[in-house]
Amino acid sequence: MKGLTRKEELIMLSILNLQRNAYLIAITDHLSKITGKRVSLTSVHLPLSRLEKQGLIESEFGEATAVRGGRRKKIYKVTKIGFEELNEYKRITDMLWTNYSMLSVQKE
Amino acid sequence: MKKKNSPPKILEIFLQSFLSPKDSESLLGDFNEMYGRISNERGVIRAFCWYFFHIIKLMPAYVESKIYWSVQMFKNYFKVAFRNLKKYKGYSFINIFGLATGLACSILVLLYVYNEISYDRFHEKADQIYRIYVTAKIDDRAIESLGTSAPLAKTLKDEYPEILETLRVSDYRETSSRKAIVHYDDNTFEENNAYAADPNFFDVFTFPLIKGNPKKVLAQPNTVVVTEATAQKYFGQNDPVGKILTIDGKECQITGIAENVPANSHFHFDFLISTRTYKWGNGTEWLSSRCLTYLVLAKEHSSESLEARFPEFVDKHLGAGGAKFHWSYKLQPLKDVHLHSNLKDEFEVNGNITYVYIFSIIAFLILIIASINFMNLTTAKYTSRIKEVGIRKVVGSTKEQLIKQFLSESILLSFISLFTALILVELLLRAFRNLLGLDFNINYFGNPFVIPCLAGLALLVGILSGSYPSFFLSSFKPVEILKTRNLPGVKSRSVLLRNWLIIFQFTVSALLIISIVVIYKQLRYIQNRNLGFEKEHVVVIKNIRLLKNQKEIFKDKLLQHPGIINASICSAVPSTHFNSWAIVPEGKTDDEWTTLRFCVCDHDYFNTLNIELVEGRFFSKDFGTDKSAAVLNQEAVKELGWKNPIGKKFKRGRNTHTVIGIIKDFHYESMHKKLQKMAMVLNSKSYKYFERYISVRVGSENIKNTLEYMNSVWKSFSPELPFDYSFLDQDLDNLYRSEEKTGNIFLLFAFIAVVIASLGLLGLVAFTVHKRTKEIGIRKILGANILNIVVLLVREFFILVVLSNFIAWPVGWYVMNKWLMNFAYKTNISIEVFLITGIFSLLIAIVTIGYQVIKAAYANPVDSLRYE
Repeated sequence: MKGLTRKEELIMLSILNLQRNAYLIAITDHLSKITGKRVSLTSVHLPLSRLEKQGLIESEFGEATAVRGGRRKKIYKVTKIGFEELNEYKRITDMLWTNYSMLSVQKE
Repeated sequence: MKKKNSPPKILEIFLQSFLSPKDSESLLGDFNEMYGRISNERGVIRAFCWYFFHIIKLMPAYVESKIYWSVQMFKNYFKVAFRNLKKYKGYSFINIFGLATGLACSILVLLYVYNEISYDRFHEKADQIYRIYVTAKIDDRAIESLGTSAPLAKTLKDEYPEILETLRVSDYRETSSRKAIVHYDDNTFEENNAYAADPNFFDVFTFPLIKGNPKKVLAQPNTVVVTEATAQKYFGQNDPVGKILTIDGKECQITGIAENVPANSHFHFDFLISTRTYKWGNGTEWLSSRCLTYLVLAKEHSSESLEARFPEFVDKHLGAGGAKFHWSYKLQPLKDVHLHSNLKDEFEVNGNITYVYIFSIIAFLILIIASINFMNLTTAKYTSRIKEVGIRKVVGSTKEQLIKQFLSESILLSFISLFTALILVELLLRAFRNLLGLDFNINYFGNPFVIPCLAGLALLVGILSGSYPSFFLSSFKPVEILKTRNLPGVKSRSVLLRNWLIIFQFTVSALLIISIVVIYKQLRYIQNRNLGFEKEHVVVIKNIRLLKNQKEIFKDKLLQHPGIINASICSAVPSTHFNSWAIVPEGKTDDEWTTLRFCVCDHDYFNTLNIELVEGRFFSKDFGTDKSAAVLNQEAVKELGWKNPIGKKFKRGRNTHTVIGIIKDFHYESMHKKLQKMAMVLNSKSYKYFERYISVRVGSENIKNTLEYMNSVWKSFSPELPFDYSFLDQDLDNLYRSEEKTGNIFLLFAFIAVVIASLGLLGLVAFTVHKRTKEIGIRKILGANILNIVVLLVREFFILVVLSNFIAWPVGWYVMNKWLMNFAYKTNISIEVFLITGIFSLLIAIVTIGYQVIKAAYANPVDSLRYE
């Protein structure tokens, strides 16, 4: 386990959700949408580069559009290790929730 | 969608510089997209603000990381540099000591140059003040003299409105003597720096007054301004203003006290007497030379346009006299006085721009020699660093980083050298000042430019000397370095350059040696040349005017002593000034006059100086008519074109002289000038006024005793001043003081250059020997003897030294011939000069490398081969 923050986890999940269009602005928009809070570009960019360094996500250049001043997008993808990592987190969270619900049932 | 949805280009460029190159494209694209979106939703201004805000936010982190990493890198560079310094103590010493000496030299010379160019800049009107000088042709001889006539100043000011002020300053005052005799109460002093000046002196020049009103102090006749130091000397703590001094018999009241004259002024007054005190101040004689004239030109006028109008001025006021002598007035800016002026009648001996250039060039060359040492040693011991370079490259160092590293290393070294140099400067400053006979100082904090200048100098030297090694060392391919045990094939290139650098160093050294040899050879030539009289054992007594009409009695009294062989009262002795008077030779009209140098003397002059007679006779007491006789020198006879000179007559003023004898030419002036025609006349009544010296020939034994006797006789006549005398041979030597000074400075420079160059050579030899240890071992095993080994090692350096001599010889010959042009009588630069230089530089090289080479040759091959 690499140790992910909540934000990093959410970013990786967003990448998975966005499929082939996961570049910085799309991820930021997606995050704002699901959390309902304004998220700034920089606060997403830093975790992204950290994750990339750790090998949990990888990137490739996408197409260039006029909106971007002719510059290419950097599209992120979750790697195999990253995916396993996410699953591991999910397993732990699920386990904890399951435990809790079982405890609540016993109390009743 | 609006069209204009891209952020401003400038901001984009800004942003790009903050981003790492890897990310910049996609991030810029993202920012661009966001910008477009915001400007669509909320307007361009909001978008702009958003963009700008992000840049600001990025800035601190960016700057911080930049600084942090460069500090980290430099810390590492310095650590490695210090370790290297410590590891190779010998090389470090040679480097630092060499550079420090070079820097110290340059700092001293810079101080000297700064002092030289600072002359007369302290005057507020320095840019507007000009000095007038006269060019004329008298007797086919071009004359450039500063002496101007008394009425010139006032007339110029009246006729040219652009001349704001004119000022006359004179050091002659009334008599033709530069020295003044000053009485106060019972004290009498002889003063060298008494000047007469017009009342507006303090308007023109900026010499601050401590007491007195600058506009009024010199307004009245018989007023004098003295300097602070002079006031202290005469009056101690008392207030000098209002006191009366007797200067050359004139009573003058002190009206003001001036601050001491700065050392960098072209003349230094102690007394300034109002010109209104003297009759000549109102003189009307236009062709005379009485005083120096300064003028202040209005700001918008050029000196050239004024100069161009002077010819009509000369026509108007000088008339026929001006035309006959091609008289013309020229202007000289005050700022040029110290370095560019060497005319007749200068107040003081000025500096010389040539020396400023020469010293600057030499200091620069020495600095280069020292920098070359650094280059040579660093490239030579590159093997010890090459693994480091390889490793650094492998772990990701770029070429630029390596260059930065080696440059910072050499800059570090040059700063260490700078501090060493400053210590050296402190130690050497006094000696250097004495050598130059100048007074200047280094003031680190007084001038805001000093410290930046020094730092800049060190930086320059660091970059200069570090540039080649850093490019050289950073250029290797890491694979090559790390793969093979042998070093890459860069040897030939670096060795070639190194050899050129050694040649350069030794060429400079050889050049300096040549100059020294020639300078001293010329000095010896001058001092040993037959002067035409005997200069040894002649005492010259000065101030004999004070004996009034008792000179003859004084002389007779002197002759009573057995140690005194002969004595003569005269107007001039060799090395002092021989007056130049106009004469009209026999058979010519008054207009066809010419000039002769004159010496007024008594009958004993010839025997005292032992001057040789060619024809006729000297003055003799047996002939009563000798008071209208004259003795000429050979040059005069030649120039006047007289076949049978004896009995010929010439007129001088109201007197007519008959030639009774011809003497052999003797050098009564310095050898810089060609010997000139001269005549001697007897000190008859009309010439009594010119008697100024008594020359005394003393026996060679017990001179001290004889001098004491002369002193006691002098005292018994109780003149106001103490006994003042000098030895003739020393006076003559003093004529060549400036050449001797130059010689000594060159000696110092050459010594430094040679020491630095040989230090470099020493380092290189030590390195070469070390590198070839194994080769020497093998050669010895295979039967080479010690001589073979020595020849092997020495040959390479020998060729370099010989080659540099071949370069230095023609250059030295050319330069020193130029220098010798200063002398009318000069030695020749013979082959021996070059041989001495060549042998000397070889000797230096041998001494430098000898120990290392012999040590290597005698080393036991077992030791050198075993460490494998």
